[in-house]
Amino acid sequence: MHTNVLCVAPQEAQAAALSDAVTAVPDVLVVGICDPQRTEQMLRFVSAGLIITLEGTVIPNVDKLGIPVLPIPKLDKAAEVLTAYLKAQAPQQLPTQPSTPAAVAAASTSRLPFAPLPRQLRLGFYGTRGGVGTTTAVVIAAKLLAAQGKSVALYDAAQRGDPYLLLDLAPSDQPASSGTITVYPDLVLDDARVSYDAILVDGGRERRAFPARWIVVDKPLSEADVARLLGITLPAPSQEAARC
Amino acid sequence: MLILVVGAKGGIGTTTLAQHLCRQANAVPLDAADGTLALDMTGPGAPVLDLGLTAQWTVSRRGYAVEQAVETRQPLLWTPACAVWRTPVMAFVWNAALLGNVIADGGTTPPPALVDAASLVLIVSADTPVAQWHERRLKQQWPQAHAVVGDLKAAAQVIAEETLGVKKKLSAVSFQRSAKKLTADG
Repeated sequence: MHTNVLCVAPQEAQAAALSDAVTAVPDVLVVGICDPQRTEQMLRFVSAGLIITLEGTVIPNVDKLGIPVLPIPKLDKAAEVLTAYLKAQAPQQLPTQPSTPAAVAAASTSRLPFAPLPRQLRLGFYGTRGGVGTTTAVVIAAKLLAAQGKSVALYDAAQRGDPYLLLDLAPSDQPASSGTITVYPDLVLDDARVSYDAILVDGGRERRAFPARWIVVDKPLSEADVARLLGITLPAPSQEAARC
Repeated sequence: MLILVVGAKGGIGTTTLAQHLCRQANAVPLDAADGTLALDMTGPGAPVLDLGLTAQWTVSRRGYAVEQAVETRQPLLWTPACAVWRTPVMAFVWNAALLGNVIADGGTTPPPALVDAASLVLIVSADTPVAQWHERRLKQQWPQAHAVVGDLKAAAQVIAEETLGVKKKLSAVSFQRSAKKLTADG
C-alpha cells in the first residue's frame, strides 16, 4: 500500500529537493510539489495522504486540509524522518480521505483520478574534453541498468558510433540492440522511446538540448561511481576477489 | 606547408603531437579544436589571432598580418565564423602556409576546408579497438592520410626532419613511408 505524499516548500527547488530526498523511501509515492500558498489548490488535483514540508513553512488553512503534515527539520534527514513516521503510523492506516464532512463531499466530486506513471530515468553525459571516458560511463550505466532488468535506450548524440563499438555492435545509422539495450544514432524522443525504462544520452563534448539530467564527465568514472549516480547498490566483492 | 593533425578519438594526444610539431619545426599553430593548442602556444608577443576576424580586413592588412603571424609564430584560432567566411580565411591560411609552416590541430572532426588545403594529414591513433575503428574510417575518407601511434614526441621529430626540413638530430626512430604508419619504435 503506497502513501501518496505532497512535498511543500517555499521555493520550487526546495520542494523538488524534498521530493528527491523521499523518493527512495519504500511505499512512498510523491504525487506533487508545490509552494505553501498553492497547497489547497494542488490538493484538488492530486490525492495525497500526507504532506511533508520543511520545518518552519507555514501552510495557509492547514487545519482545513484534513491531511497530516510532517515537518522535516533537515533536508538530508527527510527520508529518515519519513520512514520513522510511516513505521509509527503502520498499525493505524494513514487517513487517505479527509475527515471533515465538507471535505469528504468535495473529494467525492471534484478530485481527478490520479495514477502516476512510473518515472522514466533520463541521464545525459558529456565530457569537458576528449578521452575522459564519457562514452564508457554511458555504456557502464546502460549495462548496470540492463543487469537490473530494465530496458534502456542509449542515444549516440555525438554520432561517432562509439557506444556501438563498446557494446560489440557494428556502428551504423540504424538502431541496434544488445540484450535490453538499444542504441540509437540520433536524439529523437517519440512515443515508442518513451516506453523504455531509461534513456541514456552520450552527448560527446556537448550538453545537448534534451530533457534529461546532465552529468559532466571530467575524469574517468568507475563502475561504482556510475552505480552511485544511478542509485544502484553493487554487490560487495567476495573475500577472495577483495584479496586479489 | 600545412600539416593537419586529426585524432582518431579524444584524449589520445592530437594536441600534444601538434604542439611537438610546432616546437620542433618553429611552425605557426592553428587551433581548429578546443582551443588548447592556441592557449598553450600563446606568448606575450604573439596573442591568439581569431581567423574569423581577418575576413573583415583589407587585403593589405591581411598580408601584413600573415607576415607578422609567421614571424612571431602567432597561434591562429579557427572559430565557427571561419566556415562562413571561408574564402578570405583560407586565403590567410594559404599565405601563412606558403611563407612558413602551419600545423593545424583538427581535433576529432576537422573543418573540411582545412582537410582540403592540407599537404599532409596525420591521424593520431592508439592500439584500442575504438581508436583503430575510427582510424580505418578516417583512412577510408582520406586515403592519403598517415596514422601516428606510439611516442608522439619522437614521431614529431621524425616528421619535422623528413617533411618540414628540420635539421636531423640523432634519433632511434624512423619514418616508415611505405607502411603509411609512423611508429616510435620503428
